[in-house]
Amino acid sequence: MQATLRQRTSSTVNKTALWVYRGLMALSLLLMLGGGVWFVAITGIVGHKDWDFNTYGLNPVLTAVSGGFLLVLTLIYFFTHPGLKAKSKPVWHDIKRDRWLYLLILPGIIAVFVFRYMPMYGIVIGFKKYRTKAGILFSQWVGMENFARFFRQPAAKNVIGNTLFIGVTQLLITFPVPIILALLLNELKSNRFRRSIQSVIYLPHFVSWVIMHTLLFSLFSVTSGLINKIIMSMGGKAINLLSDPNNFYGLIYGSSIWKEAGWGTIIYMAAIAGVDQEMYEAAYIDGANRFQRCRYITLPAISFSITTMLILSVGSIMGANFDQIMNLRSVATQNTVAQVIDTYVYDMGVDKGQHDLSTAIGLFQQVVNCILLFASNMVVKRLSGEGFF
Amino acid sequence: MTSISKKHSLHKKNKIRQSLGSKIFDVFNVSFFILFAALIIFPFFNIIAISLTSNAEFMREPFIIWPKAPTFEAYNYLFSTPLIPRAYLVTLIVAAGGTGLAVLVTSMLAYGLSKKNMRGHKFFMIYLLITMFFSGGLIPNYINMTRVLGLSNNLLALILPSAVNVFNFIIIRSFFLQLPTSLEESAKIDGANDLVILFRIIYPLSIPTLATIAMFVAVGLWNSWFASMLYMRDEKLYTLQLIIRNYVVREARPADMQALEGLRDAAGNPIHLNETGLKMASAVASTLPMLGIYPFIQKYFEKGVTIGAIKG
Repeated sequence: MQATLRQRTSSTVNKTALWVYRGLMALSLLLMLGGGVWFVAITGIVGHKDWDFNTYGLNPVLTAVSGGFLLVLTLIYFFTHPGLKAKSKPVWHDIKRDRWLYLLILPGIIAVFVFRYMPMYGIVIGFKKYRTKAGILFSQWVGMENFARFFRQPAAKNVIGNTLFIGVTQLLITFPVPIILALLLNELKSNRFRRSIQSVIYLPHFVSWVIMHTLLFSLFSVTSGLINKIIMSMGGKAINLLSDPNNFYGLIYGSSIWKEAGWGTIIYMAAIAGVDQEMYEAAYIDGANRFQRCRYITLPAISFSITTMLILSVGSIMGANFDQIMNLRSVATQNTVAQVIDTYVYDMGVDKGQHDLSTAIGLFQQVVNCILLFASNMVVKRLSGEGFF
Repeated sequence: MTSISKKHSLHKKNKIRQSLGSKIFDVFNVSFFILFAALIIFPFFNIIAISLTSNAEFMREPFIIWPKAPTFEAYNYLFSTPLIPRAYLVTLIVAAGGTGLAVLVTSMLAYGLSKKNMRGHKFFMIYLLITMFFSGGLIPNYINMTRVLGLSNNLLALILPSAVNVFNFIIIRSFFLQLPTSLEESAKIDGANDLVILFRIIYPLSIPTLATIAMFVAVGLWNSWFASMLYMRDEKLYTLQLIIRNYVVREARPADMQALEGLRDAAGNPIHLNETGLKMASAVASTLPMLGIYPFIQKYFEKGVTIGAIKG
């Protein structure tokens, strides 16, 4: 039924005409793209707004316009050539049939273009010396200078080191916690008790990091935090959790576990719920004890979820905790242990107004992130045969 | 313990005699979770306690678990300044507008792209997936929003970008893909177009999934402060979380609260408010709506997360 309703209509076409059409199409797109790139490049080389358009700008614009002209010709050729008509007809037919679908996806496609793709053009300022007055287009090219400037800074080593250290250790420490919690939850015998525990441990996920700071402040503020007040009333020394650099890592790991470990169990609990109860009973009859049932039935059942979550986590080692660090860092830690790439991009770009440097660092981080994501996917694929893409 | 173990089907059916080690483990396990739950609830309990403590008591007692004379003066003051009610309104507009837009636009996109025979289907999928791995970054986004779109100091800057989130798109799309096609087909034969099918047939079937997504988006928007900080210059347009962040995390008292020192009661006596309590009260006030709707949405989100996980 489905097949008859939404099948692509097809029929025979003239092969040569099709290749001519494809060649012309490629050429026209190449001309348009080339002209555009040439135009952007030349403005950055000229580098000022009152430029002589006829000397510099005319050639790239003519290239792009000729590409557009060729595109129109190609389309006319496509729709008039008798050998291609057979192909063009089904395309039109399909598009017309699905016109409502195109209408439905249009707002989303536009939103993604405006808020996700348009900013990508701004990445070129990572390779320019950005001046607000000149704008993105007319700022001067500097090649890799911004990247070099970042790596020359003494802070660079610290920032990259912190990012990797926090990313890796946080992954190692916090990743297993939800898995263990889920396995333990599964061993709880009363369903009602388990449901109530789940309700409680999901809760912190819905609280913002701003409120997280407030909660920690109410307990660990040196002057008015409850825990410190209790310690001091017993004659002890207050714990400076929020601003002592030595306590920063503990703060990060602890707050991550407190806030997200419970929520992280959802995915594993869902996988466990899919296990057939009879497997447990059969295993019990075969003499498997509780630990063995957990090890040989429950754990394999959630291994796919573990793999998926691991790939995703490794892919975001270089920056998954911007919100957390922005709210948990303090004056004492923000330039030392708590300075990671994300916060550095923010400090440089927004606070210090170095847009070009900040963009270059952000780009560097994204490239590393992408490499990590695909690398982890590849490694996992090799090891377990199950990848993510 | 015995009453608890009776409920478990396996043990009920087979009348299993537990070993001593297994029993010890159960006791340990239950106490562990009670402790863990207490550890999660206590900080919330504590900020509520502080927010209800008067200044005199806060200064006098070495520490306070629960105030002897709870008072709502911090809340009264907070809601007497225009600051918090206004921030509530702003946050509500952003959260409601953004959520409505996100659910509508994302689900329409997901429905359109759940039809794999559509011409250009693959292109549009790749077009969307690329944005998961690559984005402009902080500054290009900022320039785009303020200089290209001219949306600085405009609440639309907080609402519009949430229209499409690719993760949510994938969740909704995989839900649509697993719906039976027979309903659509019979409607199609009756002459309904895709628009009618989506609104009349698909949406009523997808309420739980869409509610989950709506909840994720709403929580995200309610908790967001960064976009507000980047794009809003006027303090009147700050979201709740940003105001609390400035007040608690950056310890800068908002402009509307500057009159705190000169506060007088009806008889003209000076009032001293507990400033820590005030901070906690604003935090409680901002979290309360979230905690209020939490019980109602809980049954939905477990399902929603699972749909996303299957597809990955």
